[in-house]
Amino acid sequence: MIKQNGFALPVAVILLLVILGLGSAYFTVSRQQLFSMNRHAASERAYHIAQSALIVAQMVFDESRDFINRSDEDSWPKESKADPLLRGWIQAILNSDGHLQKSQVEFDLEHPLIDYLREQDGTDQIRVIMRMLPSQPIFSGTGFPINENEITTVVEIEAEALVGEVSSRLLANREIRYINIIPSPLSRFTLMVREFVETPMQESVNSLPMILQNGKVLACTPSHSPTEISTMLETQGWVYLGGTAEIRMGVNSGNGLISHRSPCLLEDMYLYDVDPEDSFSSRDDLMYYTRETHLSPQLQGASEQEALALVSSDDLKTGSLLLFGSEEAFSPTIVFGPVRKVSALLQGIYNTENGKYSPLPLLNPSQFLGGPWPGGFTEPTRLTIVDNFDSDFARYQIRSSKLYTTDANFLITRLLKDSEAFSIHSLEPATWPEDSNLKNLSIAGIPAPWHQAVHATAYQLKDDLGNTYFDGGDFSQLTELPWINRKSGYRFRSGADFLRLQAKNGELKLSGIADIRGDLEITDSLRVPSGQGGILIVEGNIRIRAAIEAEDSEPLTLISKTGSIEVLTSEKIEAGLVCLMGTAEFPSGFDVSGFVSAKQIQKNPLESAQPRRISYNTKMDPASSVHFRRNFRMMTERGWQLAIK
Amino acid sequence: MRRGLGLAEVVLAIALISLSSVPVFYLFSTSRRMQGSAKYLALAISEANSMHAAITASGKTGVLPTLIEMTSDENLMGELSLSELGLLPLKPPLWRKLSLSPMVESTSILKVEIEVGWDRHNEDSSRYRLMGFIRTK
Repeated sequence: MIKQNGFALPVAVILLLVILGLGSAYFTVSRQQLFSMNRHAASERAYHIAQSALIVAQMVFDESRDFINRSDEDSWPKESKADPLLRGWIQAILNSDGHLQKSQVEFDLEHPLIDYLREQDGTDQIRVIMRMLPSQPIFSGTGFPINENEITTVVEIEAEALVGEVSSRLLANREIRYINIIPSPLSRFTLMVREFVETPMQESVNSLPMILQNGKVLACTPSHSPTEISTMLETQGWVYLGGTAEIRMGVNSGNGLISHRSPCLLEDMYLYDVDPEDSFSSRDDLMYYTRETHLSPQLQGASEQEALALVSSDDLKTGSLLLFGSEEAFSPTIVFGPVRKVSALLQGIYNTENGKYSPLPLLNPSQFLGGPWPGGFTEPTRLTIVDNFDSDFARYQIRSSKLYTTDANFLITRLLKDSEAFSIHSLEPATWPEDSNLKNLSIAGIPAPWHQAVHATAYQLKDDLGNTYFDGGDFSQLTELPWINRKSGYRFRSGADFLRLQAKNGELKLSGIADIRGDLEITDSLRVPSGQGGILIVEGNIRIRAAIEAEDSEPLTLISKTGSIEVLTSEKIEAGLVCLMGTAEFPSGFDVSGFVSAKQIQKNPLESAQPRRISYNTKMDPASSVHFRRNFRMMTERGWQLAIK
Repeated sequence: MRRGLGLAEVVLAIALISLSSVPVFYLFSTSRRMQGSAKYLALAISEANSMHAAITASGKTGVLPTLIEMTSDENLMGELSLSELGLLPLKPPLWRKLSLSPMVESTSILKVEIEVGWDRHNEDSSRYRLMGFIRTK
């Protein structure tokens, strides 16, 4: 018999329990899902808050880096001139000399934007730590000119945000290279040519010399002390012309243009009493005179041309370079190499009664005694002059017109006070002043004098604080620059890639040293803002077809490692150009402001109204401790390496 | 007697089920609502992240500054044309809102505020808000 009592209720209770059980499970799962999703939402918020804090710290780092990289005077000293929002971090990472710290630095960043994030609903806590790890020197080997302040390190930023009970911690890091962008020692020279071949020229409107402006421009007046001259020369861009054969630079007439004419010629008449042994000494109205002139026969008077009629036309050709600037802008310097200056010396007899000058012509011994003489001398006059010198050709030669050569650097003596002691007839004074040596140039450990040829196989260069920055061999052997190549921090596959990435809207942003594979061709004008200069090391050739403008003379150097540099524009190029294995080729008109270092140079001789000029950029001077100090740059990788902890 | 007891039992069972149906219904409907919220919150988080990524990318490519310059009001942006950022339309009831504003402390940082919601009538509990900074240069 089947029992039917109690059937419905137990079933209902069981059903109810099942439904309640299912409902509870569903409720628990749903609640857990929602809870989990809310936690996920809080986690996402915390992540974005931490990421925002990271962005603020990255901005502080980038703006600090850009400020530290600025070379303009207004930004120094960095620690006090920095924006108040950047000052804390900048003060933390710079040492007392203003260079990057070498030990680890940890800095708790506070910034109004982080305060803003803190004030957001739900944000409980934010902490941002900026950290610079202990540095390593850029160079670990020997044999390179090492600056101990050039280092590599890593900067880390740690940002942590707490939203509710969920925290998010992000870590970003980036490599830093702290390097100097002055291409020492090349930029000590306005022009350095390893294998210079002089091509003397017959001046014309189509053929004018290349002018070197070596820094300061002076008046050629004998008003300076030896010490003043030494000090001045130590800040001028020097000139190195390599080679073993003598390089003869004829004094230029500039084809009548003072802008292209050799400076500091002794064109005023220097008058001398007649020597007592000469018979003219019995006359009160006669004196000897002497004056210097350039080598351009077509611009001199007939008597002057005749006085130098024996000189071959080849010897009257002028130099292809104006080493010391022009008559319009005299810019003295020290010239390295076997360089001699050739000019014409017009000498003769001056009659104080009638004011007439009578040049004594350049002769050979047989002409002296046998005649005839050029210049319209009558036979009686000729014989009178021969008698004056007792028929002694050697005595005549001292007072007659001639070409004369001196070391190129001897020109500087014309700035000396009381320079009569160094006049044409006493080229070597009995004793040179002790302070006529350069402090920052030594040859075999001995300071080099500025009045003589500087031609050696080993040089030691010091900066204005006495620190040696180059101690090596002959510059003519300088073909590779490993101490510059090793500092490079960026790599580009081609010149086009570099320009596309780093020269947007015609504004170059480099702030460091970059390697470029292949060639580089600059076809559009480039502007280099202050602090964004650097060195471009191009594997192949460099062609420049447009202007390069450097704000506030910001240093920029273009180096062709194995190729040549071709300038194809007359617009101003504010950059140093280096091709130690190739040729620096210039058009008929060019204007380079920086420096040029090359194996050879080649100039286009065609007519041009444009200047042909290389001007020295003193801001690239490695011997200037101030400028060198201002050209350290923090290079950073393009992006940050990110990690979530 | 047995029949009476049976009837009472049935009545009791029905009453029990009827009484308990209210909390059970509440339990299920609440759970369902929570499930919906969780689902929409997940969608909202995902959508907000996509929008943030699109805005960040636009900032990097320079599109964003152009858009900002096109607007003239002080807050720079109210509703942004999202198609310009490459985002697809949302299916209702999802909606989204984006605003960008410059920070006076820095010209290179923009504040991004993103809201994605799924019920316009109950805005506080049915929306996901995200705030962060992006760099424009």
